[in-house]
Amino acid sequence: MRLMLQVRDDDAGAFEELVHRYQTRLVSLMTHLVGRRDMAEDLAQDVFLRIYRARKRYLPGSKFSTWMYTIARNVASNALRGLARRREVNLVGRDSGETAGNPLEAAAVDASGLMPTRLLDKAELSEVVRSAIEALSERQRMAVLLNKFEHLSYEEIAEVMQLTPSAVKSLLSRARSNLRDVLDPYLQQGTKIEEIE
Amino acid sequence: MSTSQPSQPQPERLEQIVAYLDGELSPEESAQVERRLATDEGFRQQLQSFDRAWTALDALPAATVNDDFSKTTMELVVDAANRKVIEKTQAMPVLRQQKLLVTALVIVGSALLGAATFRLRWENRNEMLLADLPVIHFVDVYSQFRDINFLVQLDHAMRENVWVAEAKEEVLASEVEQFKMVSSDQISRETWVEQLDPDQRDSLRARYNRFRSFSPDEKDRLRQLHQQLMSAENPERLQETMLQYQMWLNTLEPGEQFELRKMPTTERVERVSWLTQSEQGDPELVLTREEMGGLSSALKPHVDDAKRRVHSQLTPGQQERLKHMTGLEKQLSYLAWTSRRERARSINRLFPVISEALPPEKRDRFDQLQPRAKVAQMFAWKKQILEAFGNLEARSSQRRGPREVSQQELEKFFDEGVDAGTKEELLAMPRDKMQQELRRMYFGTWPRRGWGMMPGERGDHPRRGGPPPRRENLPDGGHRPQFRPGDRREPPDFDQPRGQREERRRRGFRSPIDAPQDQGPSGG
Repeated sequence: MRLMLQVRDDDAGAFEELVHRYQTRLVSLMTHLVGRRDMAEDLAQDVFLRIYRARKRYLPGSKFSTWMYTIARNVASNALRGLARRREVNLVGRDSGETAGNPLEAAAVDASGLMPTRLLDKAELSEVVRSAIEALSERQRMAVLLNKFEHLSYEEIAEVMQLTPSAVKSLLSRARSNLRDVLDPYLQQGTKIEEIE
Repeated sequence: MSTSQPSQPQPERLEQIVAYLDGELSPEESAQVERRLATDEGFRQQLQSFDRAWTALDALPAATVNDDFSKTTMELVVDAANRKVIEKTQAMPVLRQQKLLVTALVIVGSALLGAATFRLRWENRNEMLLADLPVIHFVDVYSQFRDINFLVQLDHAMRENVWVAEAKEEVLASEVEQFKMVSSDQISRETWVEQLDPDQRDSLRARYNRFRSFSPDEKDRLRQLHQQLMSAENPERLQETMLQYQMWLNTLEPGEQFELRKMPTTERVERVSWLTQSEQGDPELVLTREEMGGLSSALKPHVDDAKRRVHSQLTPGQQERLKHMTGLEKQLSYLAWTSRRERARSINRLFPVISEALPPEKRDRFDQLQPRAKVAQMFAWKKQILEAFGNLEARSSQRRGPREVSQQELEKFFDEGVDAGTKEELLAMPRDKMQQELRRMYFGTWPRRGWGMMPGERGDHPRRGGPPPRRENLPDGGHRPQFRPGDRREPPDFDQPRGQREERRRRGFRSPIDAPQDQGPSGG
């Protein structure tokens, strides 16, 4: 917050420090939100640019990260809409025959297809998790990423997403239920094998 | 899909489970959930399945950002600011436009100047590193004294003494050589930086960040100190004195280093002189391995007594170090620390015990010493043990590297010295990065072993090079910045202004320090 107040007062060094401090988190968030690493850096830069342009509107006392994630959410939503318009949405992206119309089911099938008779390695788990995250709706994905990786409370997520805390509670519970449906069969299988070994 | 997963809970139950896992329930609600968990197996299984899935998200790959990101972001911001000013100017009525044109030009000029300043500052980081390289590389020792007069007095005082570290002539020679390299011309400095291995680069980056964190006045002071040293009447001698002082300081406890830093110059020189004399001990009283064993046996009951009295009063750092000592070194450390707390009374009572444990000729010699010299002799024996095990060398090599550890030892460390969570993090890294990180952890945390062993009894683990002293043993009391995964302080940017950059590329100068990347999705 102190740093942002310095940015508001046109301190270029403070802005540079701000970029350094948040760049990795923001690029990660954008990568998982839009599902495309190649777009993530551009979007993160757009967020920083908007922060700079809106610096005079920053209110002392408000939490900077919440403000930043609000901007990030808008930028990501715009980008996803643009992708959808250009028919470039490829979040699930697999021609999965009869499951093609249901991303969650497709992700679950992906996961079960990877179910091992051996202990799967980290890369495969990572791929399954990525699929599961991408299969969530945009709002669920945003709520999950803010909750899990940015450690925002329900109240803070509500502020970022312009919802009530109880709506966030419902949103997150549905998201986690979806994640569990996709991931738990895979994880249970892995666990059993690990125990045998 | 597997049929073994727990059933789907009702929406209210689902929200309750998720909120409980997120810590968003009131204490009463949490207690209610926990009561149910204790009695309802199905409920417990549902909760566990949600928790497993949530934990699995940790496997999401982390994004990394290269050094250019913040640079191009700043350029974007500067361009946008410039465009904004131009747009504003163009949108105004002609008269007002003319009236305000001058103001706008001033603003644009300022913005351009700001941008140029920023770029210059950014691009000059390499230049800053190279320009200040001697001060940055030796920032630890330059931070130890205020005035070149300290080195002059120290050099004079030490003419009659012998630095304990002087026996390690090859180490000193290496330090002197490095000092010359980093203090010479630009090309030599670049060459020196280029040949650093990853660990040495980490170390240099840490010192660079430490230097950057200083106030402008402090930076100037250190630069002036270096200039004074280079232009002193007898620069090489003073440089050597400074480097020896640094090596000797590395052998002291952090508290002792701090006390020295606080002292006025003259008092400090006297203290250093006395301490180094004490450390030498009596050359006739150097102990053989068997004599050390005899002394250790004789002291054991008394040390147990001292341990009971003072252990709880020792600092956490002292207690931690004791864990990694054995035998006589541990006993002497206890006695030395006891003597400080009890004003040598209990130590004086031990003189007959020590005397009795020595062979006749050394006993006579010891008995002839004054009480203060006897205490000093105990310090000397402690130092003798440390030197016998190469500890001074290891401490000194902490700064200069390279640090060596076998693959077998690293694997053993991975198996036995790394917790499960960290193992997971390491396994998620690319192999090279994992190895590098593991090495860094090894040298930072692996407990020291074998200090109580004599040369030739070093066991299976290579002693040289690792593990190094703990952080509290570092010259600045453990406050030297260290890079770790997730450390967001930026390393020096080694981009150069374009012309110089091209020139260096032709000469094969490569960017010497890679930025460490944040770990974990979103950087935690």
